[in-house]
Amino acid sequence: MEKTLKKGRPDIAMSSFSFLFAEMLNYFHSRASSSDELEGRLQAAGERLGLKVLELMTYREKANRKDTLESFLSFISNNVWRMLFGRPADGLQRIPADNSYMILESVPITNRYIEAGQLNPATFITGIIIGMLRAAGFNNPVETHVWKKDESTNETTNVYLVKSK
Amino acid sequence: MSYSFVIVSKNDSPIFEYVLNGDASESGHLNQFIIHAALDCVDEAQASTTQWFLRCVDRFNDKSIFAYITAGLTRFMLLAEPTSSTSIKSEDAIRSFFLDINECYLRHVMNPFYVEGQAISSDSFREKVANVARKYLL
Repeated sequence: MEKTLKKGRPDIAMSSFSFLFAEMLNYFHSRASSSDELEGRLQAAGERLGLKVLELMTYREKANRKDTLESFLSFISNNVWRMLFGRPADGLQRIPADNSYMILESVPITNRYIEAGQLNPATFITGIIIGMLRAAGFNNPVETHVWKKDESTNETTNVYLVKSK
Repeated sequence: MSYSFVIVSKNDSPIFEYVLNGDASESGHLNQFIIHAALDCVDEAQASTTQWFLRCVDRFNDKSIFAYITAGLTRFMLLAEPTSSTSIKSEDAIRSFFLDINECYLRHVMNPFYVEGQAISSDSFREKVANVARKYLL
C-alpha cells in the first residue's frame, strides 16, 4: 500500500506528538550523562529528519531551487513550518552586523509542556533546520537561544540563530 | 536506444544503477566513466538555473547525458545512446521520466530506516524504476 505524497489533512493530535516526544526525551535522558549530551542527541535526531522533510516539501510545493540562504530560510520559515507545525514561524530576521539570520518562535511545539531551562527541547527543531541546510548544501551552523522579549513581563521567545559560515 | 541510469549521492558516490537495453559487458564501464565525467558539467549547469531538470549537460560522441538534481542535491544521471533504428527521445519525455523517478526516490527516502547517502538495494525500487523507464524511454 502506498500513501499519497500529496497534501492531505496532516493534523496529528497534540497528545500523540507529546507522548512520542516525551518518550524520546526519556530515552535520550537515560543514555546521556549531561544536558549538553542530551541536547546533542536531540539535535542529531532532528538532523535525520531534515533531508526527508526538505525533499517532501519541494516535491509537494513544486518549489524551485533556492540559491540564496535568505530565500531558503524564508521557504523554511513559511512553507516548511506550515507543514510541520500548521502555521508559519513568528518571524525571520536578518542581523546585518554579521550577516546571520534568526527564525523566531515564541512557543515551539516541543516546549509547550516543558519549560526551557538548562535543557531546551527546541534543540530538536534546531536539528531539523540543520539537517535541511546541510541537505541543500548550505552547511551553516545553527544555535538555539531563549531571548527575553521584555524584562518586565518575563515574556520569552525562542530564537534559531543561523550563523554565517 | 539504450540507456544507463545512475543515482549519485550528494558526496559523489553512485547509490543506484540501472541499464535499459544496454550491453553491460561491452560499454558499461565506458558509460560509467562518461557519467562520472559529466558530474562536473552538472555543477556548472546548476549554477545557471533554479530548475531541477538540467537538460542535456554533456555529450560524448553520439551519447547524450541528461541530469536532474533533487532538493537534497542527489543527482539523477541518464546516459542515452542512440542505436541505428531509433532516434533520441524528446527532452519532455526525459523530464517526465525524471519527475516520476523523483517520486520513487522520495518514497524510498521517506523510509525512516534510510540514511542519507546509503546505496539503494531495494528490489521494489528497482522494479519501479524499470517500469518508469519502459513507460517513457522505449
